[in-house]
Amino acid sequence: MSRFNVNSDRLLEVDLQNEKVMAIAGAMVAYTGSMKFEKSILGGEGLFGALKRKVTNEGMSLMQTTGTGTVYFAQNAAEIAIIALNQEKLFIESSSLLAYDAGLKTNTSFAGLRGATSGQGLFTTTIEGNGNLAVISRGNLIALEVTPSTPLFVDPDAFIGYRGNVAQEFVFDVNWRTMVGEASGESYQFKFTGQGVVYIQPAER
Amino acid sequence: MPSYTQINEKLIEITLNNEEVYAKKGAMISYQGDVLFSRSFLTGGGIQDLAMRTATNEGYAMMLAKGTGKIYYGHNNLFVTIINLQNEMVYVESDVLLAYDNRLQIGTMFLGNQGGVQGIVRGAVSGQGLFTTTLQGSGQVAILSDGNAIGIAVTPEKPVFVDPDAYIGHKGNLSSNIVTDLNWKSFIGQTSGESYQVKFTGQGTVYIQASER
Repeated sequence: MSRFNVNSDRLLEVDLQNEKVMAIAGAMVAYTGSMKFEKSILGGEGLFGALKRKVTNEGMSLMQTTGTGTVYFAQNAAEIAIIALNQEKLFIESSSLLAYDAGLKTNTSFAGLRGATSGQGLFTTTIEGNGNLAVISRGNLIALEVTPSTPLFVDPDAFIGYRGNVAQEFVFDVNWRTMVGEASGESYQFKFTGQGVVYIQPAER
Repeated sequence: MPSYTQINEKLIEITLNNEEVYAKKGAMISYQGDVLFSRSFLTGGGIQDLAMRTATNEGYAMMLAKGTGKIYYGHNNLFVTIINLQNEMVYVESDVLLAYDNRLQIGTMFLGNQGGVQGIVRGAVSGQGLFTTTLQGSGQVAILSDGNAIGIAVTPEKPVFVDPDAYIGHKGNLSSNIVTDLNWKSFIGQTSGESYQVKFTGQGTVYIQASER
């Protein structure tokens, strides 16, 4: 399996031994050894998966890196965090994904009606299996735990992704003040219930 | 000897003891002590160097600080890295130069002198111009980067390939040339976004930043 390392917060270092890693096209900044970069047209999801992405606008422009050596990825000096998946499924916005082990499977899934107001679209990307993935965020990625007794509310603009057995719903906090234009700026949130982890960033889109 | 101290990742402090330091114009944030600032036209490089700079567009506006005290420098929320030189030459783009002093000899280098035709191609393709700034000697230089700058060691057995858009400079005895990675997908418009790289071979360090211009 390819090894992921974060070098000084903003630079992802991946060691490959004749292995494959997928990354956002154009995110490579340097490499040593012998590497080949190829646009991944179907993104490893087959023809149907690629078509679904096109239709749902959860598009990702991916490239496949193959070879032996060390490759460095970075994107707009954004902070990078590594998440290791162990036969789990992670839901993430495609714009937050930087790179993932080619052993992981990606797909598109319907995220419910939240997208219309949060501006993040009705669909989200899922990634599952065994391996590492790297996530970019503005500010350090924060993982918050959700348990059945403590549901979590998150501002949609700070939301990055979640994993585990978590249900997501959209809640509004609208009262008479909102109607007269005196909103607190926090009129709707995502509510997460169940057991799992929610990832957020300390910045709002 | 002016001393350079990293205060945090975006700020440096330079201590002067009746000495001079050159820094990017407008990068001074605060100072203590008795320091005078003036616009520097020759930037320690002499008339011929100035003419060369004007002609080659490797120009920059530098400010001379002179006196005794402490000066803090930072620029545009960019990251600052201090590079130590031991009788070496460092090549950087002029716009990333934050501060240096008289211990180092500054000059302008035609890329073609260094890598022949490949060097010219490199400058033209990467959009960084055909000339680059050099600093030579023993001392310190502070450079700017968008996201942390990291130095990747190059050894004769281990060449390093970098994206020209993330390259900020290099030091040591290195030679560079362009390598391309084109395949049939590039020709139908499906490029990986990494169709050409700069390959560095030899002995030294290449500096890259965590962002692409």
